Amino acid sequence: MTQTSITALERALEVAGLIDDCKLVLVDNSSGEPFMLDNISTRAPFQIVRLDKNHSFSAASNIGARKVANSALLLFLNNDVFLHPKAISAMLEDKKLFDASICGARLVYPNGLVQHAGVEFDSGSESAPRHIHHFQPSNKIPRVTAYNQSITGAVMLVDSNIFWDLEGFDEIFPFAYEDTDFCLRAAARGSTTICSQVVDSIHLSGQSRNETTKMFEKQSKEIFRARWGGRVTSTNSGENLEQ
Amino acid sequence: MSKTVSSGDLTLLVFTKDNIERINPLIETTSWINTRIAVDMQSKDGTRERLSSNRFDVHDIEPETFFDELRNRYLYLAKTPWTLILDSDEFLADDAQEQIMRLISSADDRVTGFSIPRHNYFLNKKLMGSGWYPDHQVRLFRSHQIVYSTGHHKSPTAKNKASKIEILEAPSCLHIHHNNYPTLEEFISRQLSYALSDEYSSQPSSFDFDDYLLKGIEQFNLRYEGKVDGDISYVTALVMYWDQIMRGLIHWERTGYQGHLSEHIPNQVFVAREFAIANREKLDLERVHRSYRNSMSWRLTAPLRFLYSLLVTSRRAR
Repeated sequence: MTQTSITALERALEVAGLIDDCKLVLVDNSSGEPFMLDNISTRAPFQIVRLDKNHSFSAASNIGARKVANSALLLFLNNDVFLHPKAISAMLEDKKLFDASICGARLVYPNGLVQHAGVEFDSGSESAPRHIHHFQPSNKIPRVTAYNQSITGAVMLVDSNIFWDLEGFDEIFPFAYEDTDFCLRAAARGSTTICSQVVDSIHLSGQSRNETTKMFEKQSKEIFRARWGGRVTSTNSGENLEQ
Repeated sequence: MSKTVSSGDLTLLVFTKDNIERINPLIETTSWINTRIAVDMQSKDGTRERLSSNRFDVHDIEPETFFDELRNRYLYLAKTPWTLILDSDEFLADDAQEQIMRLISSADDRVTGFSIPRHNYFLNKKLMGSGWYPDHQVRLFRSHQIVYSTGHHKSPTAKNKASKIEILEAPSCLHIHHNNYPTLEEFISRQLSYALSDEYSSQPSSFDFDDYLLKGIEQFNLRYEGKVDGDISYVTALVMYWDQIMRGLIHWERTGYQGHLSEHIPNQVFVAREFAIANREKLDLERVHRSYRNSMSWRLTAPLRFLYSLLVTSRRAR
């Protein structure tokens, strides 16, 4: 799956004209079978960051990002996301058009239903985040990119200076909510977030969820609620965020 | 209670000889350790220069074969409270610094060292079955408090018997990463090198070739776990079987060729030979094999052979 995800990423980078100007960092967050350089094929310069201990998403992402700390742009990508060939070029175009610091991408399940098209918040005191248009057919949702309060970290293009000004993802979150927290912290400092809706990329979301991650997610939710409850603009009521 | 420690409290000790092809991961992943000492056995392929230019303090010694004995002899070089030993084809993960610092800062006085799980890569694939994982190694310990045994790959012990070696629980913990053998050729030549350099008694009474044949079967049974590691498991099992046969022959030579090896012809070889003689024809291995596998004796003795291999394995394990 990781090789397929990298191949799709490289094709998207090629379409965006960035393949010769980027570095790929694969964060192996304590995989049972560690990734070996010889087993992954890439065109762009490539590096594996091996972590023996299983770190949180935020810690693992921060460690990986430090390897390319001098880059102008950082793209965080889950290995269960298969980018559309035009995804990165569309994100760059939208990011420039909206003068945004953080840009996400519309993600769909393999059956074409929306997994992610930006994040909105419940109107209750918990301000629980949830995916906009979740489980709706993507081809019925207008492809209009707009400002969002938050996007998922599964695909996140972010200005490096903003990322480091905020000291990366907050590692206090054991699992989930760190991406939403990051976007809200960026917004509090005047940065804007958008979700590019031009094309669909596939996200096999939730494959690694188990009892432990559910427990961590619950803890993260509590931290998020304590920090952001009642402090965000709510748009709707509905189900909680499920990344 | 945890103590304040830094990477200055740790010395890396590594023994090297002509390993330029595989030394880079070690150099890169240990760059955070202030004191890195290489004991080099006259490398001629640039290993020594590569280490030296990467802030390793290189000590030159004559080439030796017994690595564990060497370790004992040069452990005194560590002047810091803790020592980490790695082989030149081993390396650490990117979060090793954080984990090692955490381990040594939280170690109570009774803890002499840590037994660290090791990932073994063979032909660029991680081996999981047949004892290749977690493959614990005592490599991080309080300086001068550990003694290595002679011979290859035997467990070291603590000098103070009352102290303890803490075993790290895999998988989510510090690991050693061991790029064992990128090619089969290297695997075979390394095993032969170990076999040739090991110690063997020269007393004829100490030699029994059957011991090596049985150890070969035992090794095959220990190493073969095809359901977990597939063909790579079969390859390692075969080489380790062959390794014991080589060791038997080397031992025989060290005794001055005492004893009759021909009394110990392995079963299949013996049957094939008898078959060829009985049929007065050139040895047709394919025919022999087919006939042998179809024979009543092979079928009838199959359960016995299975039980025998189990018995041998369990006896050796004890």
